Amino acid sequence: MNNKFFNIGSKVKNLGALIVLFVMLMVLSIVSPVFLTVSNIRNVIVQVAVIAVIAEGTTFVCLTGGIDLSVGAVLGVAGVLAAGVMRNTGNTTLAVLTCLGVAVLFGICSGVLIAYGNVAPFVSTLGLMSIARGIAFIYTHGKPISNFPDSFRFMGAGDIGGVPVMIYIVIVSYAIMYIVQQKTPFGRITYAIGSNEEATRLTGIDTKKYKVIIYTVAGFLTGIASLMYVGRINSGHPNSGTGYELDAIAAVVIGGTSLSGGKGSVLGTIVGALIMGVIKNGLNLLNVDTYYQNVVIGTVIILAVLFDRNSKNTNK
Amino acid sequence: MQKQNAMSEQLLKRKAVSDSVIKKARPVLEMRNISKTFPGVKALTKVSLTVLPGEIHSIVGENGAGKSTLMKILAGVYSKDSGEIVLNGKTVTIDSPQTAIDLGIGTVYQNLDLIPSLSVAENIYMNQFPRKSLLIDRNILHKNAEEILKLLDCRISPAATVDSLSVADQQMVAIARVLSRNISILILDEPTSSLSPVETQKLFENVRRLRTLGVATLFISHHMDEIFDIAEHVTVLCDGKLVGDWPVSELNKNSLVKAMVGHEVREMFPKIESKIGGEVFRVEHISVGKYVHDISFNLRKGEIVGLGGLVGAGRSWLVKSLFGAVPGRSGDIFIEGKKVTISHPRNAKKLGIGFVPEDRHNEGLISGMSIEENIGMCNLKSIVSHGIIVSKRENELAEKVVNEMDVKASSAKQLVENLSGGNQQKIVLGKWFENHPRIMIFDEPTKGIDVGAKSEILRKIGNLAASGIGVLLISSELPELMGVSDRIIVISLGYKTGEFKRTDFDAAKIMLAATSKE
Amino acid sequence: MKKIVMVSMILTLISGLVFAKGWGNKSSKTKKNSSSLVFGYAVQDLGNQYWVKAADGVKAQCKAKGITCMVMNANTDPATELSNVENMIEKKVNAILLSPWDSDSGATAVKAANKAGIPVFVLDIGVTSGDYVSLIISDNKKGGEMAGEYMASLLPSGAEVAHITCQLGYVQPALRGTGFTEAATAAGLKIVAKQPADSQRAMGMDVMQNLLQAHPDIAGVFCENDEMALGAVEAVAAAGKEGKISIIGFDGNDDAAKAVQNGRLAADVAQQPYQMGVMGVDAACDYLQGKPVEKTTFVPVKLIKK
Repeated sequence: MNNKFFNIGSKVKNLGALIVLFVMLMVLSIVSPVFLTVSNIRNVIVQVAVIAVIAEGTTFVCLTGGIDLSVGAVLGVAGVLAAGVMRNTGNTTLAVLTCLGVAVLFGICSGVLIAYGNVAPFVSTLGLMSIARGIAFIYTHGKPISNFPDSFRFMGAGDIGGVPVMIYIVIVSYAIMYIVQQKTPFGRITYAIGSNEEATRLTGIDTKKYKVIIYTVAGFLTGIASLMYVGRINSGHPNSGTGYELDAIAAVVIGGTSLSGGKGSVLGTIVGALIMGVIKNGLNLLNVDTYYQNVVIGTVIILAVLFDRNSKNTNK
Repeated sequence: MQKQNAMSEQLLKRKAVSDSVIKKARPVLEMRNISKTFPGVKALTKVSLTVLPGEIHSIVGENGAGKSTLMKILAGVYSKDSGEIVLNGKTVTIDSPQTAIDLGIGTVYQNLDLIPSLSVAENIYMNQFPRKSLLIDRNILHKNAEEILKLLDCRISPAATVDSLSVADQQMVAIARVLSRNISILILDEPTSSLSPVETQKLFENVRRLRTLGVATLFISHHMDEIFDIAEHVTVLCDGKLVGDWPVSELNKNSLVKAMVGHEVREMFPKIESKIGGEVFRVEHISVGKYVHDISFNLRKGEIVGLGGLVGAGRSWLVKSLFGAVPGRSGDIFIEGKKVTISHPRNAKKLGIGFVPEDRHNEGLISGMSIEENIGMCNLKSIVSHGIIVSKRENELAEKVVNEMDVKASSAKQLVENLSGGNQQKIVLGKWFENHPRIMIFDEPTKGIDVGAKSEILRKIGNLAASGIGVLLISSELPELMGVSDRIIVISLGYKTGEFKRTDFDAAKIMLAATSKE
Repeated sequence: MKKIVMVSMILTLISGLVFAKGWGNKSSKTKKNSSSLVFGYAVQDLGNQYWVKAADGVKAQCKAKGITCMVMNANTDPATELSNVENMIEKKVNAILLSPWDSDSGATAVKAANKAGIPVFVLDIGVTSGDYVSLIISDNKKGGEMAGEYMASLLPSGAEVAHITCQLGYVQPALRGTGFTEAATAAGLKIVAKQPADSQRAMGMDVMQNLLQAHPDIAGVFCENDEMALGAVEAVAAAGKEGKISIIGFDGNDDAAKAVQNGRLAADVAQQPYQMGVMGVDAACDYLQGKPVEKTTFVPVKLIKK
């Protein structure tokens, strides 16, 4: 029935993105013989895993019509502080908690500034991005902190049954976030706030509180991503994560979530992240220069947004 | 450049045309067999409309009847699926709003579409500024603007900024803007909903003046009295089909309403019998900034208290502050005798208060979501189990509300933005009823809704009161207020200026209190 | 209808690029008659002129030897660096050349290559662990010695000189310092101060100012990199002692070369990144042909004077 289609279409708008991903996979497998191997596909997922997890949080934030530019810097500062704790105390649990705690703290700050301070999301998170990056450099004096025991590296470099832990994390976290978004009151409220915050507030929902929670969840996911990152390269770098916030937003946009809020889902985001990963990986395998990759990804983002706006207008 | 200036000059140069000439003329507009379908809804089925030059022609019908759609097709906003439009004997294609205005069809919408920060003259001549080489010639701009405003007997200064004007004056500017384009057809969409009686009369004077200049006016309205006051001819639509068209002289109120709804609406403003109990709600010395000053009143179980007054008197601020939706309230609130704290709608909801806001689109409904999602948002507690929203429960709840409120929708999964205004309002009401509130606040619940749906909604509100709920009702339509309320409290400029029991209802006295400046 | 148009546009764009490159690769493959070797060069940052020259050297030498060369830019991100190396492993390259962002994260990439059994040649920087065949790096110690000898030739015996170092703990620049200290002391110069300026131009300027205060009779300064040297130049000029103090830098970047030309720097020890790239490819070829390769292959440095 016409209406059912539009309803599905409005929440899970990744139909076009999925087609793009599919065809890309097929074309690349023809042109590059090493592309469609188990180990390469595994590489692709591992390579996008960090961005994919960050992008989950960014999806939530974008669904409310907000944006979070601080995630890359938070990944960095949470990572180096955790690395420092690891080096100084040798206590893995403490280090992991530090990483998550720092990331969550930045998330809370974003949320409070945006919801209660009424500072626009772009501005709040831009400011926090600078602060986070600055703290990372101050703490490390610009030098990386490296070499960790396997227990700390588990989330980034470990594997269970031959499959990298990062892949499990991506699958499990996406499954959880999908259910949260579609089936829980919290998820429903996220969509509602993005669609019409005032009307939602007038049904008796504390929208400010929920906005803080949303940014905090995004912070938590960034903390997880940070642990994955530090584990993978075995080094806490003050520079890490530079530019990751834009990659996350790109994944979200390509996946079909609207930046004005209310429409989209994490399913689209993982497809968007995979598309970016496949482009980078495929062009790498074909020995195409990095800068061409950037041009392609930028173009895909623009086309994805145009497509999104177009399908909104087809209602008339 | 010269051509632009000439256009408005042409209009001003038109000489008055006598009635007899108008009546014998060929129709200026014919819409023949227009059909239009939107996803899930057949908005218009072979509708035809004939308008004579200069005629004052009213389009009426229930919400969802298709009047707005028909006018928007004429205005170039929508495209018709089939049928033809004939302007002055020539078939035309109107594919964009620009085309419409170039063909001489000007539209003034309810939301006016003016730019508040710019001046009156700039708004009137937007898109066709008189130029002196590359720059705007402000002298000619102001002079031309003055002339057009004079035509409308309007004394606003062309240099005034639009946001400093009253709604009625802004509407004049909007009309002036379309007049500057040398139109032969003026479309007015619900022009009087925000106007006082005096302002409405002024508008009608202008419409009559335009008539003598040969400009036909098409207006969409729900107000029976106004139609009989101003219109010469009426076209009635029902459910997207043409019921018929008649000269107004051949109709009376009852026959018109019957044509609109297809049946007789016995009572426009039904009063449902209700037993009034003890006090359920009391407010003392409520003040909100500069909008509300020291208002106290109470509300009893089963009672409907109407809040009367002029538009802008502060009633919305009052009720919103009682619901916790706006900050800065001082004073005390008591529910069933106990003092309560309400600082956020969340508190109000928990205490059993429900609120139907005036602005349906921006405050009443979440437009991107479906019927069942909107109802679900207000009733999360009852559809959630173990932290998950149970789709079945959500759907069942929505079906229940849709049935109880008689909502015309294809399914509970339909997006609310695709429903007609009346049906949308029923959802806004219905979603609160499931909360079993003790107190319900309604802010202009029947605004912008057709007669048939109006009485349905008022009936539902009456039933609500009869079940023991205390109702606060804001309405700017005095007959409506007097028809359903048990008591009327009058607010003027933020002060309480009168309180009337049902047995003492007197339209003149209430009006006096509403306009009192004490 | 419009949906289809959009999707097709995206697909056309991507397919176009992929096919263009893909067919390009295929045709070049059929041209080769000899055993087609493939080398991968994972470089830390092609936004830096130094690395661009290194990459040019790698590409040129590969072309000369008929080897296919894949250059992948990490864009200063260690994670991208690791991904690049993984992709090279996937392509089963014959050798991996690596210029890591830092020696710790580089170790992770090296270990990944070790696991796949692909030989690794590290170009500059160095790694703190992991098995590599050879580290191709400027002969930093020799360069330091050259600087010390040249400075001694400019100054009278017993003259006071200062030594500005990079961050404490950086191994390669420290070798430059060691070389300088040995040669200068042996030639009779007195090193009166040794301070770090963390490779930064601004900090170099600050440190130099402080040194001038503490030791007003300084006749020469050796800086372990060009940025600090250029900072020292400004400090000297600001103190009005231009032309009276001989400053020598290390790296060979363009700004420093210009400074030597107009006399603001007495000399500059230039690294030769292009040469490093060439030598990296040579070392890899030698290894694959079974010839012996040194654990550390030194790239000669040049002393640039006016």
